[in-house]
Amino acid sequence: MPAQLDPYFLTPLSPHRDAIAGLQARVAIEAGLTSEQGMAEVVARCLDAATDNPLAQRSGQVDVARLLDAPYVTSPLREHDVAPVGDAAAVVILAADDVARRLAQRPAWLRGLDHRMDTHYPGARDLTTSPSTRRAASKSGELAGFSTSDVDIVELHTEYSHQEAILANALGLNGAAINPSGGPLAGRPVTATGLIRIGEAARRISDGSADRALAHATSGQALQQNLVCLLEGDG
Amino acid sequence: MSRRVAVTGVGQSKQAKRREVSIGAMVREAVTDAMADAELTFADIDAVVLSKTPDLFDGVMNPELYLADAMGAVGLPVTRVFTGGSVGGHAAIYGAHLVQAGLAERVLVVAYSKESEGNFTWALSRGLPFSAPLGAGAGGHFAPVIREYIQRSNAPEHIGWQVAVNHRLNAVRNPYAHVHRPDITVEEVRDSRMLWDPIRYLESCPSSDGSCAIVVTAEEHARHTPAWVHGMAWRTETGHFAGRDEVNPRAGRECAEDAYRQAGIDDPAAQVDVAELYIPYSWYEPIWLENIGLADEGSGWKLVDDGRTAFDGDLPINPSGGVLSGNPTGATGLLRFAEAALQVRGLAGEHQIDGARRAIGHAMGGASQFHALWVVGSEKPEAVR
Repeated sequence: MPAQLDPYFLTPLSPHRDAIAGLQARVAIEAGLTSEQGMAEVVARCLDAATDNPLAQRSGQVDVARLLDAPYVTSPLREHDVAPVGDAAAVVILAADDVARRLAQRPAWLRGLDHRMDTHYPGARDLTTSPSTRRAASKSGELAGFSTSDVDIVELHTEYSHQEAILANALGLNGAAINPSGGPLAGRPVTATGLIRIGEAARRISDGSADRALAHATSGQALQQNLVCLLEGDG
Repeated sequence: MSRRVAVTGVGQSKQAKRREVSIGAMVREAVTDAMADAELTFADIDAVVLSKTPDLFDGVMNPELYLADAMGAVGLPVTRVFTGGSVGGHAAIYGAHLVQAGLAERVLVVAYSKESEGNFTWALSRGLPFSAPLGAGAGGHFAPVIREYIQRSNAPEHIGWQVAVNHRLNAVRNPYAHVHRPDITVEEVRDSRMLWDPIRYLESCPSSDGSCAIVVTAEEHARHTPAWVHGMAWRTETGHFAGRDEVNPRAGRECAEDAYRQAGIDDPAAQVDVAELYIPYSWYEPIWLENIGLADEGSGWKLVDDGRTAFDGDLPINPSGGVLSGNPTGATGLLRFAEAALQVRGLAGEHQIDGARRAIGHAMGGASQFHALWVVGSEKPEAVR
């Protein structure tokens, strides 16, 4: 049961850990944003990408049809749709101008970062959209001087497979590779998950495989709070 | 400092066992008052900072999520700060940093604890292998430190009793304080039950529900009798290091030195008019006086003995009644910072110290590991340091 809910009106309902996400997945499907098939395809793509990531908790080539044979956890979510919780730590080093150039061949410059909050009450939100992500995207784009649709790769904090479609919409993604590390569907060390997204996005800049990258992090039920970080390489 | 920063709004709830209100409603009381004081609406706020002690204390995890609506934070950046009892001080400084860095113009800093909905001592008593299963809570940790202070400084036993009386008498002037004991005497404190030797019942803080909120703004928005931030700092040290001196923690010393340097203060006891210090057990008054340079090492207790830290002394400590008169832990640090601001704004009501122009707000957390301190003044600081 999620203990981060309103302790008077929501906690006493004792929702299953993944119940609110299940409601969100259901309305996302009904709105035509995704489908059970589409969600399983997201999972298969992420687990496949994770085969190149030695730090991933879960990886491999999986068959979408077999994923769809699995039972529901909270309909329409199956076990593979829920990011697997695990243990890990992450560290990112921030450095200013000259120091960054001295420390790194190709630093990932932090061009824009913003985070926003939505209302707590799932019943008062349109769960198919993420206004806080949209707002953080617009503000971080303003700071960065380029838009969230103009990046090569994105690392999204998708705690559930259906959230990829909601986030991609809110960010206005336009052909960027999503979660090349495998993302949280291949490993979710709860409170380290967001920082890992930033580290993975920065890694793609540093190794030259991307010029512009976006990292996203979330907190709360059904994407209540969201952060967008825009990174760029030069030279 | 790159930009001048000021406190323009302060709000607080009554500290007590508040079973008649929800956490959200209690938080909203302080938020509403702070916004009214600052003459702002939520549309004016750029960011919200929430201060709260461990989630185990009242059982709501990541309370910034549940409280988003009560804090007027929907659509805004929200950051939860978390450093034990000092958290309110850290939150105030973090909010001021957002303004100083140009990331926000006006920040709402919110703090609360609702300890009547949980079990504080249970939550603080970590199991093996960190500590023996005594359920001794905070007092069990601090008692030997106090004993060590008494041994080093040769302070007479009545110092702790006197501090308890001073703060409780001050609290009578503060309608928001939890504990009101207008008839308290040194004898009564001395005869109260021993809890953790040498800490007696009346030398201990209560467990309270309460909230506090402040508005921090950049210079150009500081219109309403602002309290100017002259200097602010935080420092941290480890809780588990055999060589550390918990009676006079280095982090606390260096935190104060840094804040005084920014404020251009070289003789704090002479240049500061009043201080609100994080004193959860009476003996922490002389301990912190020495640690933050308001008294020489070993002589903090003499200021108490000479009456200098009482309400009508030349260096009044905790005119609000302090932590000994109300301790909603998540808000306690912010209350100290807010009370310092009220003093230099001349808005402290019955517990206003006449002519207070410069004040210290101080907060401590964990096993004296986390330290935060700011110096606020009625006058705009001369230079931006």
